[in-house]
Amino acid sequence: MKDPNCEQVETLLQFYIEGSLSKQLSNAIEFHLNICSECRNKYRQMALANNVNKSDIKQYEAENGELKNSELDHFTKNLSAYIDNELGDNDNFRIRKIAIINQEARKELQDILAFRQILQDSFNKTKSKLKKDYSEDTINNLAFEGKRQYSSKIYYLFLSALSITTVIIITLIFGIN
Amino acid sequence: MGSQKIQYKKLNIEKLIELAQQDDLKALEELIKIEQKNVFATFAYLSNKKEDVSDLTQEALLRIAKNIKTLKNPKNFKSWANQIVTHLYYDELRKNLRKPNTISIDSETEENGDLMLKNLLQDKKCKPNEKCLALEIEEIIRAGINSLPEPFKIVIVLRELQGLSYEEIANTTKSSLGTVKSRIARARTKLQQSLKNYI
Ligand SMILES: [Zn+2]
Repeated sequence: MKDPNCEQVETLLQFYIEGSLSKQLSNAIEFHLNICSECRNKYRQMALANNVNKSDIKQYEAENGELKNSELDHFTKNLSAYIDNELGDNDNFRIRKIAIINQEARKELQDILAFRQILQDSFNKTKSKLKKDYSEDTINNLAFEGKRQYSSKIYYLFLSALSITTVIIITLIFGIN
Repeated sequence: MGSQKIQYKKLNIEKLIELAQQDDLKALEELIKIEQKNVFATFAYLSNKKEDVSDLTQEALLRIAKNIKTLKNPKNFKSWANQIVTHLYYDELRKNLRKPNTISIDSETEENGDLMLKNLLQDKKCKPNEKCLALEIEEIIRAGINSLPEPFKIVIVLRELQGLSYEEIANTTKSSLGTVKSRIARARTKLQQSLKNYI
């Protein structure tokens, strides 16, 4: 298969996560995810949402443990870091557990992911709106500052040469006397 | 000549940085061309005044260009460039603080920010629980981020717009990992709450 582009990868991500793609196709996607940070971000978000709904549900149902307030607290405090992939395995595990057994918690997770999507769409839109090209001005300003520094260097060189000469002349005059 | 230009466009960012550090101005120009969108968007959301965005962008890009040789590892470009942007933003805050007749950061309390957001939404006749058609979603987000107190504003922009890790944000803002974590969480909650009825 030819290397898939971002659009193709996006439509295949869900199947990739579920593991229902051919080995070849899944390798191609894996390769793309390694080189494309945009798709990688999408993949992470999707994988997070998927994990919550599917992984280990049976185990939790078997445990059927009662939700402790401390666990809900932990969820609220760490949800934001969870979606940023900034938690350790143990904390990730606790967050997922709550999201699976508690409907409200699950909704909170979905809301925060949806909100992030809105933010990122907005940021991308702003980026794409930049009409001005600053690159030429930047290089020109840089050259200008460089010249100014260069000419001031020459100026100081001239000044110091002048003062050295003065000192020499003075020593010569007084030396003769 | 023409073919050379195309080659620069084909280079990845790390290669461009490497060349720029060897005084290749074409490579530096291309690097700025790539980075300017990020810098512009960052100031578009950070700056209180829309008319300052362009000047700040130009100044930050110039600082990046001027200091490119001080970047040790090209892989760290993103976090390094964001440090420059953040420092410039802090400089600007300090400058505005000294100016009389401008709102200082101290007086820009949370209620103040909320009020600004409410005024904007009211001006455009946006009603809660209805999509606000008079305003683009970006303007609403921008107003929302602007309504956040200063330390929360910068962390949410560095995280969501620039995609920096908590550790990178901690280095950039000179704060602890724990502080970064709780600030991002709070910024998200606050933004979500203040905007949820309008988007
Ligand atoms: Zn991609």
